[in-house]
Amino acid sequence: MSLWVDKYRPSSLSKLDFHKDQAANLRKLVQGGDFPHLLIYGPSGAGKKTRIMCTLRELYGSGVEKLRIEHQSFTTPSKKKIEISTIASNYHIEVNPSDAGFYDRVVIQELLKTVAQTQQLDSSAQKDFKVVLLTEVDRLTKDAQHALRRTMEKYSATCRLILCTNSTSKVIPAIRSRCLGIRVAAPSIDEICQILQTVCKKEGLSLPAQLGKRIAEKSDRNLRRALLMCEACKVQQYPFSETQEIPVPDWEVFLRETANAIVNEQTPQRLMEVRGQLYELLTHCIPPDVIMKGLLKELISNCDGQLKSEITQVASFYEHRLQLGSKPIYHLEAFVVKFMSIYKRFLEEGFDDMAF
Amino acid sequence: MSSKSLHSSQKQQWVSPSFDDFEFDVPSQSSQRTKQSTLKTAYGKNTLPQFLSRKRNRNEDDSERNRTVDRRKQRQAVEADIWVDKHTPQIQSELAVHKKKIAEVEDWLRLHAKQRRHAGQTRAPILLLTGPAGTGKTATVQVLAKQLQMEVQEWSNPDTAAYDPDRPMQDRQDFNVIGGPISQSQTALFQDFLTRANRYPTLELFGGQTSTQKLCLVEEIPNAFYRDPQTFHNILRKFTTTGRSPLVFIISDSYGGESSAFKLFPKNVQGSLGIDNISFNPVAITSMVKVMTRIATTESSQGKRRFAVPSKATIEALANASAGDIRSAVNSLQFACLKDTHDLDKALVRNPSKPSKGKHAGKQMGDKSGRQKREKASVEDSTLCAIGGRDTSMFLFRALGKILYCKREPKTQTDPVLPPHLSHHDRDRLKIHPEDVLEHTHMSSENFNLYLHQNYLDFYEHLDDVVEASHYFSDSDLLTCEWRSRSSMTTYGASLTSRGVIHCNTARSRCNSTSGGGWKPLHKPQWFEINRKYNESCAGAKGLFVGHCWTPVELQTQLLPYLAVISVPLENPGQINFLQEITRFTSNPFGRRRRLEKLEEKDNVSEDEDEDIVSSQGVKLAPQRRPHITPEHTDPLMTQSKPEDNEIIIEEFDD
Repeated sequence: MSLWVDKYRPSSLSKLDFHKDQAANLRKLVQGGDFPHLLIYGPSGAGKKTRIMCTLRELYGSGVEKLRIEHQSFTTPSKKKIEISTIASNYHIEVNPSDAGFYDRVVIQELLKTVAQTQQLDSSAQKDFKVVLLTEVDRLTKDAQHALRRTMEKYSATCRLILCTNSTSKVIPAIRSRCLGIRVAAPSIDEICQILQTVCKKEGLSLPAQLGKRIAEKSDRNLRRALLMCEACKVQQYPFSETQEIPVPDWEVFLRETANAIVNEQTPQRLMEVRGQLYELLTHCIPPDVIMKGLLKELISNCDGQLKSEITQVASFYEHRLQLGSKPIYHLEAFVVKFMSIYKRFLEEGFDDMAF
Repeated sequence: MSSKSLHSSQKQQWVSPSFDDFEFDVPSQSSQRTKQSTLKTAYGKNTLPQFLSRKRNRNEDDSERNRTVDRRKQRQAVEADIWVDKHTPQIQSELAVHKKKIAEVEDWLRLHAKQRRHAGQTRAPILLLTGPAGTGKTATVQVLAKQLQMEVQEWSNPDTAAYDPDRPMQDRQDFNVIGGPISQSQTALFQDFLTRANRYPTLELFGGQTSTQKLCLVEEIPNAFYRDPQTFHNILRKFTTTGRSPLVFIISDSYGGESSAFKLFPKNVQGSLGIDNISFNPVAITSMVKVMTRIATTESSQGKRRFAVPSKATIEALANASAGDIRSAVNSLQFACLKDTHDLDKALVRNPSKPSKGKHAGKQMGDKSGRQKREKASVEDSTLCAIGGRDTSMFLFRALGKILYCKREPKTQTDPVLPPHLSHHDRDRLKIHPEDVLEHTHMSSENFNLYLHQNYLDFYEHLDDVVEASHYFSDSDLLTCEWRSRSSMTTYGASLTSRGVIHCNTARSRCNSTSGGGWKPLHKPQWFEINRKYNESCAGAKGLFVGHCWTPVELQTQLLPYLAVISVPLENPGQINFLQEITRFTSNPFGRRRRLEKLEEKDNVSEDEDEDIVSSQGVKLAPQRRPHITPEHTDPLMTQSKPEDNEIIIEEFDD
């Protein structure tokens, strides 16, 4: 399977399409022979992972591209077995510790220990350290983050960490200060347009500039999304037309319908229907926080300016609780009904004003 | 049971009865009477059933029979002092069960006894009697069988054969070479009982009349069947084709854990085997009082010792405290009538309003509300509960109803009045105590919250009330988020939500508010299923698309939806199926509702669901719960999401 996203992913720092200054800096960093732990952060679809892989390639050569999937199992102190899959080459290992749920601390400690205790076999290899790539660091528990801080110091001789995250706000300061933070900003709309054109040219397709711009705008400056959209457009209709419809994921359409249902009627019965739709979204693998965010976005666009701040505040209140609690439906529903109430009050006041 | 009392001289042999200490002046005339009855019992009762029970494959041989006869005699001597056994109803009018219920069972017995004679029936009839303990299920069957001249053959679980060194060697044919007794499995014995007991009539030698209709009664169900209900169903299936006489099962309801009735007799089996189900309700207070008065008067005049018949108020209070269990009521009556507990009257004097209140209300407000009053009295009456009162349990259905319907009492003069700025919080006094209700449900607080959450919306009318109530649910979830304090906070969680749900419902803030009334169906929470599906799907996505180093959120919200649109050749069919299931939403979201699972009146919650709660840590999932997904992963995850409108309505809500 080769999606355009995978197929045209730049493989070396020199081939990157945007943030070229940053790429040059990274190259310099690597050429120095050693580098500190890195904390790469930025929005989704900005190219964090691409840059990390390019850096690794710069560091170790093409050997890092020979990947293998491994399943490792760890045993917790309470004798519970945890299986986790890692992607590794001879020089690095990539793992998403949040797969292990609240046992991520064990995974981090054990994994780093095994990796760090084995020296590089190949003495002719350029570097005497390995790289451990941790993704979704912001989802690590506090426990695991503290464990990580300790291990970082202990094994710094034999391994380097590259942490990859969307936002640093959930990474504890102790880790942030031990890493070199590199922010990968989202590409601008023009850059995305440019990339879409290049990719289409490589595919032998001609993309109308107008459509390219529309896709770029609709992608929320998420390059991955833009490429996926573009490919979906191609499947839908080729040759492209400038005005053709850009497909969005089903769940976004569904979420919009849910939001409309909330705006159209504010009764307990409607809330019951909305609950059913929220459940539907959950069963389709849409994480609750994404649902909350999407709902807020849709609802805000539907309501008057003066309500926006109030509703956003309510949403953030319940989103926080959703993160803490164990049953997201309570909080999602509480948010929905709160919105309903605010919106209904607003409508009624509007009616009263009209009457006078 | 023999209805005659036995003399106390016999009871020294086995164990001394627990009421011995209270005994005083034993009337001398009773000793002769009981001696006769002992003789009679020894021949007329004990030998016959004993032989019969051999026929029922109790696997005892003759020498053991004598031993058991002794044991039985001894037991009887003890039991005869217990009023419950002594006053077992003999005729229909003595039963405390509601007349309609008796008639129902009687009709069933008559109908099927007749049909048997005509032999025009294809299936052997099976009846399942359910109801709380002590509601007269067994007594009803026994009395009716006697009245209809049916012979009752009762299954009792076989004792494990004890090694008896006194037995001569040649008698031990049932010993195999290794030296252990050949024991047949309970399952096989049970099957034998069913086939033999109804095929062969009792020998005339033992007073059996070939003409009498037989009735098989099963009260104890062999333990093996709880582990393996399938075997049980097969045996029953066989019985329906070969059996001749009616078969009656009696199963008491259980409140905690898994209900045996639902496990052994699931609805589909009941349907396919044509099993009729008659459910007994707790015995009504009035009929219980009637029976208790009768027993007390007989005992005080004819019993071994004289005592004053307890006042009507005392009997009523005892009946109240027993929560519809006549057995426990009669036991506590006997206890109350012993000399040392005469100060029971004082306890009554201290709060004399309790029973009489119920009576008054019953007169004034009609039977229904009177019954509620009494229910309340039985919950609150802790002083009397101390005397032989039963710990009352409640079915989830009823508990939810109590919270959601939140009945209130009219205001009295003494109730404190809220200051004006709080007047919107003014509510009439509740009839129930939410914590009491919670305590009686035997359910984890998270679970109960989910049930409340699933059902509360139907009872609300105003949106602003829902805002408040939903906030309480959110609060309660927050209370238990920290694992260190979770164990101590969970009880508060359920308390918070149930009180929140009650308080916020302004439409039901007054005793006479009827808005939003009417029976509403209750449903089981969808959360368990949704959460399980969510976790499975996430694990499935990860398992199937493992080669792509995407974070789960990106995978689920971006890659998969587009993959479904883009026709990229996928690696295996499992991925294709999965994609279709995960990304396809039904086109018309409004015309469809996920099928709701109805909560039955007597459903219990199995413990699996509790486990789910523990492991449902939001998005995080414990890896060992992941299903093993193979490339042939074709499990239709979404089959339940098909448009279905068959929402079932509960016929009746019996508060």
